[in-house]
Amino acid sequence: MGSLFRTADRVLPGSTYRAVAIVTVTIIAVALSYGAISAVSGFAWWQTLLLAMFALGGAAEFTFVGVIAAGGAPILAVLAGLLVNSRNFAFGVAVGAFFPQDWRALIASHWINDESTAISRLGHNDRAKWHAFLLMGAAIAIMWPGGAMVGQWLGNVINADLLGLDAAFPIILFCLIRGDLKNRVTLSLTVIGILIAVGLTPLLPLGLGAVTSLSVFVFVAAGWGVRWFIRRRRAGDNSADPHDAAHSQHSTREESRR
Amino acid sequence: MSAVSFLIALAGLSLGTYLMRFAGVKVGAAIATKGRRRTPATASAGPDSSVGADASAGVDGQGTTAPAGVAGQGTAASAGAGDSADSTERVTMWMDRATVVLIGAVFATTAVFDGTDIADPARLIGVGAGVLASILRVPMLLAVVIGMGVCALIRTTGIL
Repeated sequence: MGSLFRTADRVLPGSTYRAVAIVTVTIIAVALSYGAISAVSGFAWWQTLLLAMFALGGAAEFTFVGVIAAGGAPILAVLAGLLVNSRNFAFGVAVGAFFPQDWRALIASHWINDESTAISRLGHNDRAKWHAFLLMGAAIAIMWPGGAMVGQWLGNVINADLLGLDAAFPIILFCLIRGDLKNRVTLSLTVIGILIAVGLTPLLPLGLGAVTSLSVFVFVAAGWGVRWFIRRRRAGDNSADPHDAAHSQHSTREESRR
Repeated sequence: MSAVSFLIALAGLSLGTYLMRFAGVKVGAAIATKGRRRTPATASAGPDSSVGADASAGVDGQGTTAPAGVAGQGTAASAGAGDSADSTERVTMWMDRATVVLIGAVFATTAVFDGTDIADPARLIGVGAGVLASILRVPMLLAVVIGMGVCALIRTTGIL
């Protein structure tokens, strides 16, 4: 592990380290409040610790503890936690592209979450992305259970809500994707995705709302399907006209914005 | 909650989460590798690849290059290789966009909702202040501090 981080020193720019440090500080603070909530809900310290270490999902632990504290059955708590963590599949697809396909992927898979995926996007090539991901993932893997333990110990002494910590996470996530939103296609897709997710969150079980944003790509896929169909028909007529091809692409763009 | 039922629930949550993450990694790696491996396959396809070249030209909006009828064997092969390199790039680009959309949705839902209920006005205003600061090119740390500060100020003073 030590050698991995020595290599990271040369691969990553200083701005990435700053971003990782900011996110880590916030994660420690959120972990404190998770530990405190867990203690107040009647969980033993080892239960808080094991949940933090093995689920390693932030919101999933809050959900799990919340469902149990509200008197829900353990199976409901498990299903709710899994629903909340389901977006990690999509994050896995995104980061799997630059993972080395050996034993390291087995460990790194456990570190996939919102923050490590977002931080990895700061890298400009696969190597930098992989190192940024490792740095953030390792920091979370250590600090989240550690902070939870301190929070458990402090119990309900601290009140993270009064510090406005719940506002910090959305802002961090926004900062990490701000640069990508300069692209007009990405921006319009994201805005539509946000509208879908925000509209559906009150209607859906916990955690599924954010995943529904990916349904915007159904429109993109539909546009591709239409274009493929048009081109195949035209190839059958044997009169491929570049002007029409450009035109069909234009209509696809419109389709994807809808 | 007894220790045994807790451990069973913990195992279910942990294993399920890990399997979802690992399956995602495998799918992502498979998509990336498939894009890279298509280069030799398309180049050796011969007459078919000229159709592929025309398709890629159309997709790029550069319809004037490489019309299907003119392309000979050599140009078809090189154009085919260009096509698959281009398609890898495009797959990566769209997966990247999907990540941005998903992170954006997590941002919006955690900003607006507490579980499935609307969050309190303090968080909405705090996040709004932080996002505005970020749009105005304030550094990330400062934007986060501004957002938290506004949120905490509203809560401690109890204005709303």
